[in-house]
Amino acid sequence: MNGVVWAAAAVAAVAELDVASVAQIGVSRPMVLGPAMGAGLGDVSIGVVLGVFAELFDLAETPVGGRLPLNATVAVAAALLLFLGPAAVPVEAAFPAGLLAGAIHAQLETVLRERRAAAAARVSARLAQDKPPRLARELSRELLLQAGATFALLAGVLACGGTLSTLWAAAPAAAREGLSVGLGLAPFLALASLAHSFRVVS
Amino acid sequence: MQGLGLMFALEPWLRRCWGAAEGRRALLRHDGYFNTNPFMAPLVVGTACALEEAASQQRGETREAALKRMGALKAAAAQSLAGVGDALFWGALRPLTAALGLLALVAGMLASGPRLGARGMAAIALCGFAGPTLWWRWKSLSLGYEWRERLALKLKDVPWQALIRRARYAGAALTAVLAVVWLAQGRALPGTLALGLYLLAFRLPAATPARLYAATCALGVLAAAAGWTR
Repeated sequence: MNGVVWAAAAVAAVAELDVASVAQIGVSRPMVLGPAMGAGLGDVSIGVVLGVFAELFDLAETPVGGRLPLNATVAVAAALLLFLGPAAVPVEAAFPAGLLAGAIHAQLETVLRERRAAAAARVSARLAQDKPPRLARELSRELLLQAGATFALLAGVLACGGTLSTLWAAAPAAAREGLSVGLGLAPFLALASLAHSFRVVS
Repeated sequence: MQGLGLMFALEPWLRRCWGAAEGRRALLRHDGYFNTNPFMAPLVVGTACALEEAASQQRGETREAALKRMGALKAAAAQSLAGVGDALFWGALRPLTAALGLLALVAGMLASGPRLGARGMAAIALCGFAGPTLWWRWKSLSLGYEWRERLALKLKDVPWQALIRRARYAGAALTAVLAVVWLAQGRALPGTLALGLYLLAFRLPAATPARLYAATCALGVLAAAAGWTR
């Protein structure tokens, strides 16, 4: 697999940290990452389209109170890697597969967050023994783990791309048409999600 | 991880106020559960810095009482700021900048083409969110330090709800404009129907865009199998 694809996956894994772990300045927003990844992988337009869909879908679910919705950053990254990567999965299949990857990442992050309690306990123990807490080391380790987990998930998505392409080709026509209908109506769903987000009380 | 982040932010200041060894003991006061909106956290950090500094200059029971008050204020502030911050930044600013980004996309595409539209959209979505939030994070750190124990009183003077309402009304208006522009491009009636149905569907319990998308695909498959899509 060419280096550009792996680099794009790595960039997405690092950008994902911006969602909730560090900075949170917006580089992880699908509307930002989508066009950037699309440009890097050779098709800005599809990066824009999938970025907009993922962004607007995400607006209806606010990350409050410890709730972990589907990770839209991972969703758009996975969809673009599938569509623009070596497997060239049709976008009708790549987008829902990306959404699934985003949902899997949310579960992964739940596990990682539980693991962080151990990091906090280590810091507490060191402070109780009057030793330096090594906060930078603990935080760096957790961030590295988060980025590594995201990269591993995206690598898994790339690995499954070929299988997805094969499944698509072998799928009944009705299934392919159904997914096309879904994608065709996605702009209206995205617009409705945007409108709905101005009504949601967080 | 916010608890670790809070300690990471406070560690240098506590070392400065208390010295290395006492600073580690001071850090223990901030060990434990801490959770608030990340853009409101600097207000709490600034307040904690000010109160720790003041306590370090006091002695005996006065110091203990000051530290106890700081702990209570920190917990109460974190909780109340979480709701305001979530509504303002996640519930209003984020969707507003998304709507502005979409407008920039449309304007850029009409003016020049998809590349300009994409750049405009990404720039607005990024800078429109990063600019105000970074400014606020920096400003609120010094405000928290300045306000100290008057934090709760000072926060009451800020018209949070009015700001949130204005941002949401502006966003809703932009969305209406976007809907009209989008629907005018193609088949307005089927498009309006689809938009209306999805808006109604969002009223269903546990409706999320991903689930609605899955439901649309499933209905599409059934329709295709029945021959309705040809």
